[in-house]
Amino acid sequence: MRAFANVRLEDAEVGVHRVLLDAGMTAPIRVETVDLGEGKLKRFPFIKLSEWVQHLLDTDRLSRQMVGVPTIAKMKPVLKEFWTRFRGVNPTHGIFALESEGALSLDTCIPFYSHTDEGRSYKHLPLWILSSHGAIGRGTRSYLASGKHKAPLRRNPMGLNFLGKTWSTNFIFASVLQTVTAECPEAIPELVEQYAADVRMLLYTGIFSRDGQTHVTFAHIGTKGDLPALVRLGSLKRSFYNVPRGPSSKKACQGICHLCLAGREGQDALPFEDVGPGAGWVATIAQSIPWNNTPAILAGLPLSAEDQIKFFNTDLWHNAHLGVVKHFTASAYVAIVESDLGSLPAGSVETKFRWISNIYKAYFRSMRVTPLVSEINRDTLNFPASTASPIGKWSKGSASTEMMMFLDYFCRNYIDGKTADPILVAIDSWLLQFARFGCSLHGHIEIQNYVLYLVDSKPVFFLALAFLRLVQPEL
Amino acid sequence: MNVALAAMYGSGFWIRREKGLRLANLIFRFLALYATCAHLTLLQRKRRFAMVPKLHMIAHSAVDLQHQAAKSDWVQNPLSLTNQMQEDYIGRPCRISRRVNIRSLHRSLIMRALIVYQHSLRNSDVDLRGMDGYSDL
Repeated sequence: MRAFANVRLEDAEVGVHRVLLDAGMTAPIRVETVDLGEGKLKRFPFIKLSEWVQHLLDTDRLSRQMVGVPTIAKMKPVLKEFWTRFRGVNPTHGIFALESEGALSLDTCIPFYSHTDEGRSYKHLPLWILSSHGAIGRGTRSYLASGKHKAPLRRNPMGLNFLGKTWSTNFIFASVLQTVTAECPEAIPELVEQYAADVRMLLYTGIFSRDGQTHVTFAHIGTKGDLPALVRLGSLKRSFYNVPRGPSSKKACQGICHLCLAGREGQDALPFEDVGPGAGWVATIAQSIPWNNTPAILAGLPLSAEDQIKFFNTDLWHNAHLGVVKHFTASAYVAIVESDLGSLPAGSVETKFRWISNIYKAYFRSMRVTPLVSEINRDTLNFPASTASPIGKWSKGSASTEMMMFLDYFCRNYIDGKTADPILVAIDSWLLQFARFGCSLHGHIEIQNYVLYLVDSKPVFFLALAFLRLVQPEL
Repeated sequence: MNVALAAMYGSGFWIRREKGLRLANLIFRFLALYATCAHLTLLQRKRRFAMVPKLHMIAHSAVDLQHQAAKSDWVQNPLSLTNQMQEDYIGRPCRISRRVNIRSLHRSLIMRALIVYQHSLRNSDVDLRGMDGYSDL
């Protein structure tokens, strides 16, 4: 109390932190600063990853928080096996050359990913954040419930880094508010350079435990983020921003994807809309670099040009739930409204939407769930006129799931065998196909896992229902 | 698609080649049906089922699974590249940032983050979930 009373009111934040540090209430991590400009930017704060992992090693937490195993002794064979499998899929990765030169030992080399994203902060200004986390971890709930984590090492799938508080497994490097980037455009590149230099040290030098007995190195195996974040981090010149807006343009599009040349127009056109396994763009994966200057995040990493391109990873979950499913469900509801389905009420499009909306609300009421999207109408589907291209207005992955879930219910009760409209039939068979595939993939005993999966990922009631429908047709 | 995701959630960082190939096929079928819907509506001269770049990025995940399966018994679970947990994580610093003086936001954010970290790490010390893995080690 006395310590608190002595804190100067003019700068209480710093004083309070000092007291908390003495009391062991705050993590004793050194915050470094970098000069990004005048005023507050003169001493811009960030935390090196090496500081984090040194702290974890000193407090005997490193193997738990970065690899998901209780001790360093147990971590070593796990990492060795990890890198054996990694070599299987990336045989020419530069890390194996380092190992054969004797520069590092793979059984003490911890793989990690970096992540960048922009969140919303005060007054909705975007806040850019760079953080790091171990590639493997404790696993997901459904993974642990199935007992797969107990399998012997050779057969063990190694847990994903999901369980545990995200603030104990993801380590912040720095955050940058948009006002800073406006004042100092070089702020983010400068910070990324600092990050890359530290990461290089962690790979080539590594860290030692206090007693000098344990030596650990770290390998940055990729970076993650949504598409805008990746474009920003890599200054990618081929990205979704290049998608042609009209049937023809003055300048031919060079490509819409940093990984391959899909979307290229002109003589050797490679349409990105071709999404089959034999598409033309498949042969161009990682063949052409998507930047003018090598991105700072890659500095010091032992990667070939091909591995540099593949370093920028795209997120399947994000692309599906916050992308394609929003288009699919919105278009599907519009297709229903525009169809000649017998049960649709006569009248305007609005009347028909109202009818679907009422079924939608009743459905969720019966499930005792309040849906994230309150109703289905022109507004929520961004469909002001029949010439518009519909897309869901929601921005949560779980809203996409609820929409899919209801769509499935609707198809079962109002479309199955009740129409010959080819689009509705396609929508319905889409839902049915996947439920059926789920059975073949999982076997019936795994229903319980679905329930656990709900807890893991929020977005999946729909699936559990679709699944039950096939397993127990009377439902 | 959701079924594919559920299968991935039940798995670890690595999945067996056969399962990886099944997942890739599932993803391709998802994409093919979407394309069918797009084609059918296009024939009616309507703008529905837009062919967006994210469809292409999803196709990359499937191609990657196939390429890895051609080389190795174990393939990387596409979910290992998801940002889902990180998005949850990003929300926290953003919430903190809305509660501090904007002029000293960056410093305050990091200092407050350290308090949360200390708390989370201590909680994690007593969380034994998943710590009994690898029965032969």
